[in-house]
Amino acid sequence: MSEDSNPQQSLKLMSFPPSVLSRISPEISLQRHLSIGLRPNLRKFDEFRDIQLNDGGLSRYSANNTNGQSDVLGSSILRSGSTMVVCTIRGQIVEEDILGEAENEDADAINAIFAKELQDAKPKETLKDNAVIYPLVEVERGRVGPPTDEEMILSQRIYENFLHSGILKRSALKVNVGLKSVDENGEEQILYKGENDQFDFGPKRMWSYTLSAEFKVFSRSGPLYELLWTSLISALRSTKLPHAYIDENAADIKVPIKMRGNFGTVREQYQITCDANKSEPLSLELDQISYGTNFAVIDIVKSLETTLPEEEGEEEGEAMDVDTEQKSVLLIDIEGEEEEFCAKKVIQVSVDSKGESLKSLTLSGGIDRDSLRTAIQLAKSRSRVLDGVVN
Amino acid sequence: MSEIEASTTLLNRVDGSAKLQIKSTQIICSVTGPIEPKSRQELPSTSSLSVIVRPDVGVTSTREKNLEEKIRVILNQAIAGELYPRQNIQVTLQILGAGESKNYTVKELTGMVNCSYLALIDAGVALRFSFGAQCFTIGHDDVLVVDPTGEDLKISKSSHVVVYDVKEGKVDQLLYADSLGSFTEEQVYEVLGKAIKEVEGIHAKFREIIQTKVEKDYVWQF
Amino acid sequence: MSHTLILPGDKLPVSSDSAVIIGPGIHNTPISKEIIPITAGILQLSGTQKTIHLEYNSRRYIPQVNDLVVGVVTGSFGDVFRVSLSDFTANVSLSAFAFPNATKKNRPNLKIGNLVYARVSAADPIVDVEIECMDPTTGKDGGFGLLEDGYVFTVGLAFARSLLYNADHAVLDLLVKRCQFEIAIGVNGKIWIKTDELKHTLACAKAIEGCQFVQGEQFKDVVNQCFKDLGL
Repeated sequence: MSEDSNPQQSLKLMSFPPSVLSRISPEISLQRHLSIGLRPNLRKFDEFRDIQLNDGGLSRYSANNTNGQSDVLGSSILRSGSTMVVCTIRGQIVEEDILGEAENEDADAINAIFAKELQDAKPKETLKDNAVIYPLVEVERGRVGPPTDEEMILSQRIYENFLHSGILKRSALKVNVGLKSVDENGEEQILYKGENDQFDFGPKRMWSYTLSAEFKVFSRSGPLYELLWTSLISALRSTKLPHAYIDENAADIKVPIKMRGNFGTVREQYQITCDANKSEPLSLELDQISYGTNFAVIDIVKSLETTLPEEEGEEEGEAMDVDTEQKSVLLIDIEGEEEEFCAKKVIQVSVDSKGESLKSLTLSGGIDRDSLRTAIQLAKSRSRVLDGVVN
Repeated sequence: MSEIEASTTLLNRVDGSAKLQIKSTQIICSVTGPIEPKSRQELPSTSSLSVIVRPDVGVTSTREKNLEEKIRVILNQAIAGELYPRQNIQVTLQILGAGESKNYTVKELTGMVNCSYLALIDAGVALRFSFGAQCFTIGHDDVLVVDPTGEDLKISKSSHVVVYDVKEGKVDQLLYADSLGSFTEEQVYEVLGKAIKEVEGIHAKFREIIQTKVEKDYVWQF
Repeated sequence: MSHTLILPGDKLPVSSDSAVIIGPGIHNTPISKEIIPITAGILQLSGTQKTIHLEYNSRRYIPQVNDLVVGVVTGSFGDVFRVSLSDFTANVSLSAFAFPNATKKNRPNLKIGNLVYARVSAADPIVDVEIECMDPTTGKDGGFGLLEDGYVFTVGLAFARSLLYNADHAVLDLLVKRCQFEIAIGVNGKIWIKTDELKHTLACAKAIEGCQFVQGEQFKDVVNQCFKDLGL
């Protein structure tokens, strides 16, 4: 890349192929690219990577399921540039804490009073009804070991942003519990609430699904958060929750016992089983769905041809000349080593699918107002485009 | 204006330390450095920074890892690393009182950024500029709350942390901003604008605290 | 001494067109070539020589050329001794030839754990710091070298500087009246002291440590108290 050798220069200049230069001196490599109006990945400054999404047929409910009876409830495969993200959603059923005494016969009535009180007690806690998802991020690097800091931070960010976004409400994860019984003809059938009017089986206990999202990332080439988030949204949209039922034989049986003069009761455990045939789509708060975009603000030095290659250790890609005119450019969708390494000023913004309300915003480095304005505008239009891709 | 109480030079086995309290959020910070790094931390031309965050209850989890990364991004901009090549600066933050529920981190982050500024000054680590942080919430009634309480946070629609650098007592550049929840573009600008005065106020408070520290350091001279 | 407190980011009273000599606490930024304060301290200006620095207390010692230091020998490799000036910092090197009259045959006999009083002869942050145990102008020992027996303790760097550079420091004057002692003060905050009696050594060390936290007029009380506590 050092082809512009200066004849006055007494030292012999070394030259490296671009791929080598980008590793040993990413700043020079990036500046040289920017000075000719290109990015190292040959995209334009404001050009996004294309995103391809499909469900990968990993989920048991997928139309092109090749996996048989898998335990995956929803999935997505996202390709963007060379990066591939596989996201799978799995679920578990847990018994919920219920307000009031669970053993109390009048639990329902008490719960109703509590619920009313909670509603009356203003103001309401924002996160109270929001459900969480437990993410696990694995960035494949050809070696095994404990999770890296990046993986932990990505998981935590997804967890926090998901909780605060309110995409999924707790109520959407309630299990509609059915009852399996044998009718007069000796045939087994499962009854669900709402399906059968006479059916008034009401267990005092409540169960909920908890969802975990597992991400596997192959050939990472830049910041991952936005890609993981998009793949999560896509996977959740394909997610279906199975119905679950209680076997009549094992439901709520109290057996009084007397042993060595002590009285007590033995309570049969509920056997809750997932219905292999019936399922319903996970209901998401569609207007809360958001999509993220990242930007890097890079200061470019116009008269780069006249400046000598900087020594390693000079900061932030600025030239040694004091009086060179500086301008900054906004690079969209950071990709590649040079961009990621040199991106000291980063804007990360999530906008809802309508492109109106912002869901999260992180600015680091000295971001000026103009760059921020442009970035938010671009993120808004990007969000609408991504929403189209995901649907 | 938030009420900050802080003191420096409390721990005598480290190079710099500070303790800071804003409402019910209480942080203690220690700085050791520049010290010899582990070989994987060593950077040829600048200093490396390790940030360790310890929660008030329980063991360190991904929540603290995420906070560490945020603080590292902020402090790395302020520390003049070129003065300490191949050296490591270790910043340890112990949360003594979170003052907010585990679902939020804004009050802790604000406290930790402010506390680490005082501890870095106490340790004499080279800083390019001063800095200060403030947190905000916007409620469902769209009212901006400066330095919210834990209760304010619970009922807020969005929460924000803003860190500015301070030069000559005036805010110069935005070092870091983090917003979460549901908010509009205009609200972002409102928060960023409002934070300027707040950070300048916090800096003025810091100046008093540091004045006291320097007087204490040189007490034998008077 | 004026008492202008400077914080990082504050404006320094220097004009860009006249040359100034910058000292500790002041930094010339590598790219924009600005002269900025990098820590909080009291501004020290000298009008005639155009020098500027900040006086600040810290506890981590960063070696500078010509500093006088007390170090602990931690190892020896060939012709080089490794010496620790402060904990957790990379050790500095002390050449076996940086002693008066040292030759290949006549090596100084330093063991691990020995104390030396030395001068920093090279302090580039990029490479190892070097110290030497002789006066470079005369080639004589000049008071440097092995410190035998005695006791070492640590004080704040600002207090150590003030003790070293004020030959008639009030604390030392007070101690002289109580007992005879040998002292080596390093600007790395380590002070070595040796008296004829263990009790005197301890009392002196305690007194010096104590004086850094009190005002000048109380030095006398601190010294008296320290000697009294040990029954002297």
